[in-house]
Amino acid sequence: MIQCTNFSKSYSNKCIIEKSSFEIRENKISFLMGPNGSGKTTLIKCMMEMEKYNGDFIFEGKNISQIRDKCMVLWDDCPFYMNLNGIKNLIIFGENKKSKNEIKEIASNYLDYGLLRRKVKTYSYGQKKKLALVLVEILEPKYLIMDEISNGLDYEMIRILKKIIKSWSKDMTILLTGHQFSFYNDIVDDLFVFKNKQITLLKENFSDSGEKLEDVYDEEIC
Amino acid sequence: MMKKYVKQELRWGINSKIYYIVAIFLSLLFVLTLFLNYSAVINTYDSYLKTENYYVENGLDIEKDLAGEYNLEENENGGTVSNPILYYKDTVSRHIYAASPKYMLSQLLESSILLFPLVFGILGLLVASTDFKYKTIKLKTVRMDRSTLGIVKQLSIVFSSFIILVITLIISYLIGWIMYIKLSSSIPIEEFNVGTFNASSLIIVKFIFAYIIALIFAEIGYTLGMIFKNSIIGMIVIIVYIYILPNLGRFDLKNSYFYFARKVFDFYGVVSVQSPKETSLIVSTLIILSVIIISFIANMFIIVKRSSFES
Repeated sequence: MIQCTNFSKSYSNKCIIEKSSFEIRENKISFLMGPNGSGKTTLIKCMMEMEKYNGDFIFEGKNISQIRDKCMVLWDDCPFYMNLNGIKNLIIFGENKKSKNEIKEIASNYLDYGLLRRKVKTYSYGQKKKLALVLVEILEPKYLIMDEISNGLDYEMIRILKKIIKSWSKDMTILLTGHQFSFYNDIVDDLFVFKNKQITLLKENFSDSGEKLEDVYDEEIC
Repeated sequence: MMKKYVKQELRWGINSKIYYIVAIFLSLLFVLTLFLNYSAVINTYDSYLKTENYYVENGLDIEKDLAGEYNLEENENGGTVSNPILYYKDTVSRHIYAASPKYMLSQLLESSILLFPLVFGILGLLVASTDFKYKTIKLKTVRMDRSTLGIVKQLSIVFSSFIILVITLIISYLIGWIMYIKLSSSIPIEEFNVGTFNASSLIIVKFIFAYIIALIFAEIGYTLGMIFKNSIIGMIVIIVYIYILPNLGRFDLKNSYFYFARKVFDFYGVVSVQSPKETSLIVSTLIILSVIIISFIANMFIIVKRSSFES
C-alpha cells in the first residue's frame, strides 16, 4: 500500500496540486484520471522524489529511499540507450536479475528477435513501449507506475497487455495514467481523479461496477 | 545495493563499447609514443653514423672524444654541441634504453602526463553525459537516488580506468617488445652502453602516479560532463587547458603534476615535460587534492540539484 498524506505541489508559487490524501491499495490496479496538464506526471515525479513537494508518500511504512529498487516507472517516452540494441539495453537495465538467455526468452514474447538485435533508434514508439514492458518482467518491481502505457501499442498488443497487467497485479501494486479509456475500463480496480486540483479516490473496484471511464470523465471532469 | 548499480554502469561501458574505444584510442597513442622513440633511435643513430664518417674522413680521434664530455648550448637557432660524436652516442644510447623492455613500461607511463588528460577526460565526459543525452537518467533515478547515481558513476570510472590502463599497458608493451626486436635487427645495440642508465623510482610508484593522473582527469571530465551535459564542449575545454594554455604557475594543476612527474619519472625517451614553476611538495599536493575535492563536490551538487527531466 502507498499512503499519501497532505500531498501538494506548486511551481513558483502557482499551486498545481492542492493538499490531497489518499491510499493506493496493495496488489491493485489504480488509475489516475485527469486532463492534460492536471499534474498526473508531476504526481509520479513527486512519488519517486524526483521533484520537491509538500506532504508524505509512505510505501508499506517505508520511505521511498528505502524501497527505490522495488519501484519502476514506465515513462511515456520510454528512454533507452538509442545507440544500443534492445537486448543490450535490457541487459544493462535488467540489473543482473535474469540471465541473458532468460532475458531473450522473455523479450521474444513481446518483440521479434531480429528487432531486438537492432539499435533502439530504429524502433517505433510502440516497439519502445514493448521493450519497456519486457523490462518490467525482468525487474519484477513491487511498485509499478505506467504513464500512458497504451499509447502507440497495436490492437493485438493492447488486448494482450490487459491480461498481462491483470496478472502482474497479483504481485505488484500498479498505478496507471492515460487517456485511452477503452483500454483501462476492464482492468481498473481503484479510480482516482483530479478534481479541483485535488486527487481523490472516486471508486473502488471500478471494473466490477460496469461503469465506463468515458462517462466518469464527462461527469466528473468536463 | 550500490554494487549492482556499479555493475550496471560497467555493463553500459562494455555493451556500448566505450571502454573498448577508449582502450584502443589509448593503445594507439601509446604505440605512437613507442614509434616516436623508435624513430628517434633511427634518426639519432643516422646522425651518429654521419658524425662518425666525418671523424674518419677528417682523421679525427674518435676514441679520444668518446672518452671525453660534451656540452650542449641552446640558442634561438637550435643549439651547438661541443662534442657531437659523444652527444649522438649518448642520445642513441638513451633512446635505446627507453625503447628497451627494461624501460619501455616507464616510458609508457611517462606519456600519461600528455595522454591521460585527454583519454580519461573523454571517458569521464561520456560517463557523465550519456544518461542526459538519452534521458535514461529518468529510469536510473527511479531505481536509485541521485547522489547514489553520482557515486556509482564515479566508482565505475575508478574501476574501468584501472582495467583500461592495465590492458592498454599490456598490449602496448607487447607491441613495443616487437618494435624493440626490429630495432635490434636494424642497429647494433650492443655497441651502445645502455647500462649507465637507471630508473630512479620503482615501476609501481610510476604506475600509481599515472593512475592518479588518469583519475584526476576522469573526474574533471566527469564534472565537465555534468556541467555541460555535452561531451564536445567538455573535450574542447580539456584540449585548450592541456595543449594550448601555457603553464600558469604555482597554482596551476598542470604545474603541480609536472612537479610530481619530475620526481617520479626520468624522461629518458621522447616524452618530456617542462620544469614546474616555483612550487613545493605541499603546494602541489594541496592543489591536486583541491581539484579532486572541488570536482567531486561540484558534480555531486549538480546531480543532486538537477532535475532528471532537464534535457
